[in-house]
Amino acid sequence: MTIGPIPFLRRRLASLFLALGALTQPVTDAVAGPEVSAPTAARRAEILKMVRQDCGSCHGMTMKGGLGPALTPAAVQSKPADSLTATILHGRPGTAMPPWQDFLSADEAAWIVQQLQQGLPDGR
Amino acid sequence: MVARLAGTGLVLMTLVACASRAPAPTPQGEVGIVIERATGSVQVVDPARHASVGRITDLGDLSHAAVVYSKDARYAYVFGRDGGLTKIDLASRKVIARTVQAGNSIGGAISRDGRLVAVANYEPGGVKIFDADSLTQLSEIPSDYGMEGKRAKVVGIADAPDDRFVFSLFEAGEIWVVDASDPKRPAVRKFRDVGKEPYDGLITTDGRWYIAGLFGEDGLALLDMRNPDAGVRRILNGYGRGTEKLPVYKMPHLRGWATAGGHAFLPAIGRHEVLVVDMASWKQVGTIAVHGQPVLVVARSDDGAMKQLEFSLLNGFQRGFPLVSERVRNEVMRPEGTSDQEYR
Repeated sequence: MTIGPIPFLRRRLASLFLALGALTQPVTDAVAGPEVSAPTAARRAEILKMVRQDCGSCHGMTMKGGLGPALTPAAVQSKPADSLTATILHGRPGTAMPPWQDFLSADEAAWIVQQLQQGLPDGR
Repeated sequence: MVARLAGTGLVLMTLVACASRAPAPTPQGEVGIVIERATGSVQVVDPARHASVGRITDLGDLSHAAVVYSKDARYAYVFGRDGGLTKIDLASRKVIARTVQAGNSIGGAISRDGRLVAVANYEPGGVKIFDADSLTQLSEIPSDYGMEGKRAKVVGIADAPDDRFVFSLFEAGEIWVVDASDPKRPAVRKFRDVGKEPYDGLITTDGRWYIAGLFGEDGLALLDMRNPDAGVRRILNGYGRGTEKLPVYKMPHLRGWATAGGHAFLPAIGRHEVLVVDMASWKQVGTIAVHGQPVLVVARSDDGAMKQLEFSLLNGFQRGFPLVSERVRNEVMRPEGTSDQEYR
């Protein structure tokens, strides 16, 4: 064991990553509705991470909007799920919204829409 | 693969924060700050000792954040996603002043004399100017555009000489220059039709050139801050030569992009390329092929000479930070069109 500032910083960094990890805990089965075949728990964690970190680079890590519109429940609840799913998969030509179908299946996109409309798990 | 990308935003922000490290009045010398995006806190770090020297918490939503420093580098001004503006004393690691001045903001700038702080806001769109001592609001400039009473999102705010701020309006395709020599009555000069969807901007360290990157078309908008009467002109127009661009999963940052050795290194939107521009002629003199779409380039040099560049690359879910060093100067600065595949 070394002594000095480096382990201290390492601990701080570790707590930082723990804090990030806490955002991406798998969700409970209760949130998946009957019409969408839910991804596995491991995949759900990956997808939620992606939603926060990558979708979040435009829509905000807290989904409150940025260069892209807010994706909070209040913002997306009234919109048809099918068209939101299509937007995720195919993007919106003429805007900054890219297609994500290379990274997500149709079921996974539909599951994301469901999560957004309910509010992402873990509160942040 | 998805998991690999997850930390990218954090790393980027960390890089940006570290890149902006500044001397502070501590016995240890220079300190830097690290934005802890998920927890809304800031750590003050001593890069020389590789040690954390303090943490400031409860700074609101820092999921996107930006920082500027006071002239003496004692204070940091942190701009949060939720419109929060916080002044931190780096010596005592205490919050000196804090205001939540908008609903959604992207960043800010500090005037060259250090008296004024300006914040660029998405919601409600516009710029607010504050007294740098007290964070008292002095004026507001709504980013109204068009005929329908809309406000644009403000991006790419920068400080320019002579008490000016310059920024771009995303939806409007405009660049505005604000003369804040009377900060309660700022004078706004608008440059319209500068190009489709400016997404960010940078000013050269000498304050001479403001460059706005365009998302909606291939090219960048250039304004000579010494001679704004000459108007905004287009540089690198049509750099993609009509080829289809790739989907852009992460909007690049222009602020912090490298200008070094008389060249500017600018991101090609939707392409796996960094564009190399001669700052005397503003003509493209080369491209650097990279592994993915460039997000950030930093010149690591104190004297402004290009010694080393870092690329943050994002190609779908791949990222990395390969170093491109002397080879860039020696080998990549070649006429446009020659192959540079060896740098991939």
